Amino acid sequence: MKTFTAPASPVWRGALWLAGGVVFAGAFWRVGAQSETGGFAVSPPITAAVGPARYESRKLSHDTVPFAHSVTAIEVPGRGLVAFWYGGTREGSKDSAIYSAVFDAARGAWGPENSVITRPELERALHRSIRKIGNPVAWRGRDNRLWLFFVSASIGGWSGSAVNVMQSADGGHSWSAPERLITSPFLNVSTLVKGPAFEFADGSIGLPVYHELVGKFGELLRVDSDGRVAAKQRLAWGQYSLQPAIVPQSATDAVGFMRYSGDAPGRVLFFHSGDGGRNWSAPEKLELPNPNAAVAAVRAPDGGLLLAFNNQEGNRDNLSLAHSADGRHWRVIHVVEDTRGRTADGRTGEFSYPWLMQTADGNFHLMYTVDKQRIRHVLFSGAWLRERLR
Amino acid sequence: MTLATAFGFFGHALLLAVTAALLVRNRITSGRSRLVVAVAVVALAAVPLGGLPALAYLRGGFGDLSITTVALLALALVRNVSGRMWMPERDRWVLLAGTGLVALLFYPLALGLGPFDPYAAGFTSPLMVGALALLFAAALWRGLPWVAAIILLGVAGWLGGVLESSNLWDYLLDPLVAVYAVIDSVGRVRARLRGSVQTQ
Repeated sequence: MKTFTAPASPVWRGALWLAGGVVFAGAFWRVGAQSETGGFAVSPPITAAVGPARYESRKLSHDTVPFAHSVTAIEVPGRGLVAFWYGGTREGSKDSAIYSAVFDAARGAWGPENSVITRPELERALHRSIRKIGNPVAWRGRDNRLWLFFVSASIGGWSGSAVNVMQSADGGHSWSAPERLITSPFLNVSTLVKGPAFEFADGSIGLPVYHELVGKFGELLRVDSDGRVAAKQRLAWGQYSLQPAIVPQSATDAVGFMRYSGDAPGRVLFFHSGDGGRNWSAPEKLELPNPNAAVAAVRAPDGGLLLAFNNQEGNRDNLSLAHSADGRHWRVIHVVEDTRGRTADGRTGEFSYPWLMQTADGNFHLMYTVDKQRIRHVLFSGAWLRERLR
Repeated sequence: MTLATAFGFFGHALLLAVTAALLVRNRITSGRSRLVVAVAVVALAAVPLGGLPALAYLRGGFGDLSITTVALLALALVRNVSGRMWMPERDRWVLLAGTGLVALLFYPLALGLGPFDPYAAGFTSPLMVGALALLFAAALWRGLPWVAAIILLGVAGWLGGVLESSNLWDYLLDPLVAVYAVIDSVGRVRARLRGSVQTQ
């Protein structure tokens, strides 16, 4: 068989050396140009607690579809609180879509839900087959641009998921075409989102994610302003940690919590960083039980932390709020839902995938899935919280 | 359609073309005819079926192919239709053996076997770029210009953003070339061992 020998000639080799010099100079320049994050971007805690103690619970989703799950929300200037979740005929169905609704604070009710993106729309936009859409996470940048990260799977179950992202410059009325985040070398599978994003000082986004194909472990992505993955860190390894939720507390300090999926006893996992996210501690078990379920955390007005979690090891029929000053030692301050042993037909409820946040008016918002059928919204004021913390 | 999407489709089109040409090589001896078959298969795969072409299902299942794989596929297609082997056997063996060895170490670690994630280095690490520069120089110095060229194409592709990924690993390695490299390398070693046993 004839062999083409041109690349062995001195001219070709000289050309390769020259091209190599140019390309590798460019490559070194590119990695050298990447700056440090500058630590976490943290606003002062919202301590305004004007007004009476309020605690209100209401339906968020309107049962448009039989299955609704994994709510996320952001406060949008000019619109108020906007929530997103995924739903369809059932979990992972072909008609799955990301839905959205806006909270009308004056009426005290959620507006009608609208489809933000469907599975066929995602297929056409990404030019690849998509089996199902799942978990969304919403984020608002310092420039008020909205980001919606959400997972989709082309093959297999949720462990075969990848993350997609869309952006909105008009408060969520319209969205850019979705783009795929490439986060894994093996068919780009098994990166999912659940916990809220946060901001680094340089404006890049810290996006907690998790892997659940070969192992189960939390990771952290850094996404730049162009929506490209700039860095990735492993927060744990092995088979026991999922769905990290990170709360920055200062430019250098942040605490994080993870769902535990290992051997008994099931406990909420805790980890932290003291150097602006360059390094993270190994996860450790807290005293709080965890039935292999997601948790949500937010800063409290007193500088401490609030955590929404299922307060038992067995299943998810209890959802409680706890408070801590340091992230390690917790006190349960309120039971949001508890159907243990109380339903007439023996079935207990399931309250899962909590999302916890504070809006600029000082109110807190806890949203969660009920029985994987609907989303519920609990609003409580700073004054109500202060009473619970006494 | 973005450049990354187009390149992604191109890689899978090449994969289909090479597969088709290989499948008919015993029945069709003319290289030109094999090329016609390959092009026809790719054209069929570009026709939408239920909204998406078959190429899109390939892309959905396997993601985009690395520059290394695309280069090897292109060379395989040239070899199949023209009878010319552009890459010398020595370069091919070194490239595949090196790829296979790296893949055997890389994938288990990247998928979570331990705390160290080599994939993370592909986003930001000057060490990784440095290692590749050394490999490139070593390959060229040792008379393996095709190995050097493919490494260079991968890094150049990363700089140009021709794939969706911003990770350098995805331009150099993917599961398809990893599996092929391991199988090819194991086959060669076994053949050599068999050959040395027979001569004894």
